[in-house]
Amino acid sequence: MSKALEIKIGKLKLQNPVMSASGTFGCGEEINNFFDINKLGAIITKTITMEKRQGNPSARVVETASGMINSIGLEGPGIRNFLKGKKDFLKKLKTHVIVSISATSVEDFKIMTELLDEQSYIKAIELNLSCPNVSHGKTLSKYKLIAQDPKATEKIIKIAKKYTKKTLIAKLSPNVTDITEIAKAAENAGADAISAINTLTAMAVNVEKRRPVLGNIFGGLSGPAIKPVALKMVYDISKKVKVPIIAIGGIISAEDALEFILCGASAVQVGTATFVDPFTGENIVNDLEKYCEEKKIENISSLIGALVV
Amino acid sequence: MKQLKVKIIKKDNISDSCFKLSLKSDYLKKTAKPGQFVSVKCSDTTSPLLKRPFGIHKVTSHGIELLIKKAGKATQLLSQKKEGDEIIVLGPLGQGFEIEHKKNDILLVAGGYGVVPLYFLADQIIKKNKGAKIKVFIGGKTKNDIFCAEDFKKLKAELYFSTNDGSYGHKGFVTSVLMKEIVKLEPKNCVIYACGPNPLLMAISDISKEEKIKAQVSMEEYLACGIGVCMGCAIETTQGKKLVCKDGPVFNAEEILWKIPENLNKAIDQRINL
Ligand SMILES: Cc1cc2nc3c(=O)[nH]c(=O)nc-3n(C[C@H](O)[C@H](O)[C@H](O)COP(=O)(O)OP(=O)(O)OC[C@H]3O[C@@H](n4cnc5c(N)ncnc54)[C@H](O)[C@@H]3O)c2cc1C
Ligand SMILES: Cc1cc2nc3c(=O)[nH]c(=O)nc-3n(C[C@H](O)[C@H](O)[C@H](O)COP(=O)(O)O)c2cc1C
Ligand code: FES
Repeated sequence: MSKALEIKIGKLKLQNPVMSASGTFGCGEEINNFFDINKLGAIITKTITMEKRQGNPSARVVETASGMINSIGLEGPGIRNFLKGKKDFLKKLKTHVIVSISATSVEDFKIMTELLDEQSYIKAIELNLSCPNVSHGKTLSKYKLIAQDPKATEKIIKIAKKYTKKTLIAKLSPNVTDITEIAKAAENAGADAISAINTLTAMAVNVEKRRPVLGNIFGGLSGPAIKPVALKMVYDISKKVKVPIIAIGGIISAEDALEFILCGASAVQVGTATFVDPFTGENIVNDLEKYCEEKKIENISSLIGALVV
Repeated sequence: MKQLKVKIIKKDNISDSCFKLSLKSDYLKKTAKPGQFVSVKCSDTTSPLLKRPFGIHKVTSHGIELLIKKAGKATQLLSQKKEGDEIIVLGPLGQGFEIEHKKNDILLVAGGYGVVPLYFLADQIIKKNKGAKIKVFIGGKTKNDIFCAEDFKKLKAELYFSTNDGSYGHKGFVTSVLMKEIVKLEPKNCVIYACGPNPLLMAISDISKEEKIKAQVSMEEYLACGIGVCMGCAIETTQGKKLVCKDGPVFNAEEILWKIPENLNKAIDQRINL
């Protein structure tokens, strides 16, 4: 593989800027049956919580125009079971393993960061401050999500920073008035990179039954439908912060990825597109490589923020 | 499980709202088990975006056959495909039925297109258990929702029909027809395999418990990934959450924790409107 796609995020050197988005890839075992996931720049696990979580009642997913709404609600085994169960698989991977975490208290964020810090095979931590399907709890902020509150965002990143030297990524929510304010808070607190965006709060209605489609009534919108919104947010953030931005939102092709890179992203994550075609991540890597070759681009980082306006 | 581009070698419209697609694939032919499904990309654009799940109806000499009811946009688009067209298919997915080899009284219960996996199952049971006596109970809203009767006849299965409006067979629930036959049989020798809307499967679970007959039910949920990565299709079971796409769609009836309907009458209405 050529070096044209190599990029840096915090302390990590990635062979290419394509990662899996949290919650859309499990830990990679299933997708590894389709292609060698070591071809990706990094993989990001489903968000892990302190304790086991049951998640929300069904229905939890529904398709909408060029997208889908999910209300999974961070179902998962809890961090200790996760470390026990997935260690063997994750340890063997040659690509970088990034673990996504979320919690409802400062104390839990601290404990989880410490636990992950002890694991040498985990290369970075993504702090999910922005899942619209759970509440981060009243103790952290008066807002539902940490990523809606610059002070809480700062506080959590500072705590995590204190307990790990690993690369720290803050994942932000589009459900805010001004995402750049939160991004600046994250940068000030020491985040090495910013992931944007998580899903947009949304709902779907069944007219015949006069009921909401989702068991949880509300969920988060993802897929191609949100790409234009995500592009604008990434563009805005890139004007305000210096740390690398990892763009997420409706990416299904190399062209989508390039749009985000031109708008200031250093890397991208593939979410919903993996459900449409499990090979999406691999295809984007291959197509980006071809693009750089054809256009004689020495390194893709020369395109970051290169949008002509 | 693989993602494949397969050719449609035959397409049959079996009614205004229902069609069959015969797909060419050696791989699916060799690997498919009754109760498993495939996930089909129905458009080349982002609308509809996600693949759609369909049960494996038959294994043919060239591949597999699907039986599809037009329900909305994706199935409508799929119905416009022609012989010779290629489509993208992911499968076979999920765990199929577990065939109970020691039971000879086989009771297959279908609501609407629930016949889809049960035909494949019946075909396999007959090939493996010469002593099997298969009774098939098919229910639908009207006679237009009754599919596959001829196919089951060729397997020498005994057929029982019911419709909500009485336009074909018994008027009422398919479960009342089933109960009339169950009382004539020895529970120990019986096994029920069912596929259809949730209210029907819930009724089958009750019958299974009350009559002490083993039952396997094939469940439906909205799916997103179909391969166990999104957690979108989780249902409650006695062993915690399980995924319809990966752990199912077939489950033992006794392991499912049905949601207690807030309004029982509404549930009964639903049962009528299968
Ligand atoms: C494991 C499994 C096996 C299936 N096998 C078959 C089959 O063999 N033949 C067949 O015709 N259909 C089958 N289905 C249902 C089929 O997948 C849906 O009818 C199809 O996805 C509808 O897509 P659409 O875009 O045409 O309709 P949409 O516009 O998406 O929906 C139309 C209507 O169908 C309902 N619906 C859509 N998807 C589902 C779902 N997954 N579960 C319950 N209700 C749904 C919607 O609420 C809506 O009322 C199966 C579903 C599952 C989960
Ligand atoms: C089914 C599903 C589950 C998700 N779970 C998580 C999660 O656990 N943690 C998280 O940070 N984001 C989660 N997300 C959000 C995605 O990582 C991503 O930010 C979002 O879907 C937008 O990208 P996309 O349009 O490419 O899907 C989830 C998204 C979906 C569709
Ligand atoms: S549909 Fe994604 S886990 Fe079942």
